[in-house]
Amino acid sequence: MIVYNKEWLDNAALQQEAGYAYQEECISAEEKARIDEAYPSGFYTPNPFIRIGLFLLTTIVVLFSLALCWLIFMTPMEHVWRFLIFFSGLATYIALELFIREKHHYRSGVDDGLLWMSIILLLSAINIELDLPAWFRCAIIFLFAVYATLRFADMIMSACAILALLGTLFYLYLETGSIARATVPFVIMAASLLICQLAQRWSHIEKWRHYANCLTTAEITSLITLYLAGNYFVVREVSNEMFGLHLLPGQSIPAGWLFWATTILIPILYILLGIRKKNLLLLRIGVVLSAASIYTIRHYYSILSIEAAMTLSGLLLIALAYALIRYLHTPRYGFTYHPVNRAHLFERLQAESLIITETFATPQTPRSSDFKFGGGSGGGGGADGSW
Amino acid sequence: MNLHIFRKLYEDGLISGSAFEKVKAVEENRHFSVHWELKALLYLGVLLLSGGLGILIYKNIDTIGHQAILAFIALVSAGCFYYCYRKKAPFSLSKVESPDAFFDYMLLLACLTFVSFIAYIQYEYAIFGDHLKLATFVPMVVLFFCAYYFDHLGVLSLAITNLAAWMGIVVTPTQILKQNDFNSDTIIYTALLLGALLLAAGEISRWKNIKQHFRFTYINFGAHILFIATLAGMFHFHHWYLLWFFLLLGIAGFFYWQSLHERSFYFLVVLTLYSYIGFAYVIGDSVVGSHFRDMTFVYLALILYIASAIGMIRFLIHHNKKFKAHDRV
Repeated sequence: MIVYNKEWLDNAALQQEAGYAYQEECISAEEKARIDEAYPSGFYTPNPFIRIGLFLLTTIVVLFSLALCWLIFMTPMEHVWRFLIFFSGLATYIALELFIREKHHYRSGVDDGLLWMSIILLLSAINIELDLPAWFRCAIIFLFAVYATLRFADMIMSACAILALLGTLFYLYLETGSIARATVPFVIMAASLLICQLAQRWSHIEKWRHYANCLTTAEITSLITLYLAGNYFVVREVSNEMFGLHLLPGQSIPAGWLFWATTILIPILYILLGIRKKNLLLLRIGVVLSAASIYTIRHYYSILSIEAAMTLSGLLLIALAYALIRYLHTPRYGFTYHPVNRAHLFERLQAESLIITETFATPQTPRSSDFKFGGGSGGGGGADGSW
Repeated sequence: MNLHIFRKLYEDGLISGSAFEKVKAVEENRHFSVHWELKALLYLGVLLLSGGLGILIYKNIDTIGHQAILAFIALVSAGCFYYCYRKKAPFSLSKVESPDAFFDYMLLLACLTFVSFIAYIQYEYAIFGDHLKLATFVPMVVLFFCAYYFDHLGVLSLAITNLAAWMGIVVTPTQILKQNDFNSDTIIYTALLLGALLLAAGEISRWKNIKQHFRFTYINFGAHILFIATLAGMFHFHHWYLLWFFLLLGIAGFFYWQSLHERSFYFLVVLTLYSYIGFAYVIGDSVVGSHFRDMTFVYLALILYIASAIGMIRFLIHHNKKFKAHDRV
């Protein structure tokens, strides 16, 4: 099913492992070279930056080609646009297969661009303006995304597949009647949990090793949907919008306490499980989702003024991080503060310093004499440029 | 690292016994590292605290509490500076490893609160009088000094954005296009000057061997500012746009030479994308400007867009193969 040469995929994975071992100074450069020679991989996989450049340029080529075809065919025939989009999607897909088979592109930016463009074009040709029920649209997206995942082992496609599957389930279940409206969050949560469990189990199966990354992506996606389906904000706003509850500000949904419980407990559960199982994925998602929960609570109950909350939580976080760094300086319980000894791309690009400028500084020169403090000349004082 | 794979490699005779033992030792002693998670927490903490304090004084400007808040900010800044001063490694012109991540973020907090402090006292007491440029000049000097004295790339980037602010432009990555009015001559010329200045600073740091690792930050800011300024020049000075286009090509040529020299994939992609925008503008203008408002010219323009994009793709692929032997940023 997978389009790439399987032996090369295995060899590429092996070369990567050897690369890690070389970076950790376990094996010598000679040994690394010998391994690369014994397990050759003929893929064309460029540097990540080149990949981004190729992706953008490929997308530009596809879009301009579409525009050209449009101009040529639209003048004589008015109603061909659906076929036009469909056929350009097909043509893009054929180009994708050719690039992979003949030129051996693998994660090169060209294949990413062609894959996404072809899927988007084909789906738009089917979905736009046709009168289809929502669940059917989701089901079509699901089929395309599953096919793309199986054939190209693309991680984003696997995430799309999970979302489309849950969407199908959501709309189908709603058609069963009025009880469905009250219970649909639980159905989505149960489905997410099931997907998460399956993805976790399947990612260790030897036969499916080429899909390990896709399954991990599926696991991340389902962990997040599990949380979102139980999040108070999501449940309240979605039911308000879709089922016409006409809730006034301050009014709660039926069984609101239950959703408050899931909003608060799920991130904590993720973090605890992440610490217990030493699972970085759960830990990180848990931390990010705790922030989402705090935001949810603040959305309905303003406990502190925003600046007091920021100052206090900032102090708290710094103190917590300081304590943990001191505590984990000598590794304890298998945890350590010291970084894994791999030259991260992140560090090579010095991305950290860029993030710092991005989030802290929106300096403006004072314009003539109306120098106002609130004008943001604080240089670095602005929280996120929202002054 | 997967032990099965390395056992197999060992059995095949591709790695020595001692290498396999090393892999095994590393894997068995591997701890679960939460390095990046803790750094993210620290970063978030600094972000929230400095932002919160900033809003706090802003909202309390005319109340009695503002002096207490001001004192608190000064205290935080001074405390952090003192901590960094005590902890820092001796100064050197080459790269100095920071003692730990906590040091880095305390320095950042110190600098940010210092900038807020200066901005506030300028507002409240006008210490720099009407010399408004001074109010951005002083923090800039302090930031540059801190960047070199404590050897901190993040503070250096803050200093560069402050330098740009002092000269009158915003260079924060996502704001550079939104907040600058590139339809003004002065902004374009200032940006050109700033870009050239930053390039020079980057080259000097390598040439004179002063904090060589700062070079990338200088050159990176300089490259984007120069490219955006020349593109803005093309759009703004319409009658002279070919002149600006050649300037753009000249700058791209300079970075091309640099990236060949350094085997830098990053600058290669950056110069390719900016040049493509320049090309596209020239193509579009020659078609729209042509006297024959014929569909044929529109077709021609589209074909040229496609052809030049394919040309750029081939250019990138070709150079990727050329650089491949030495993988770098």
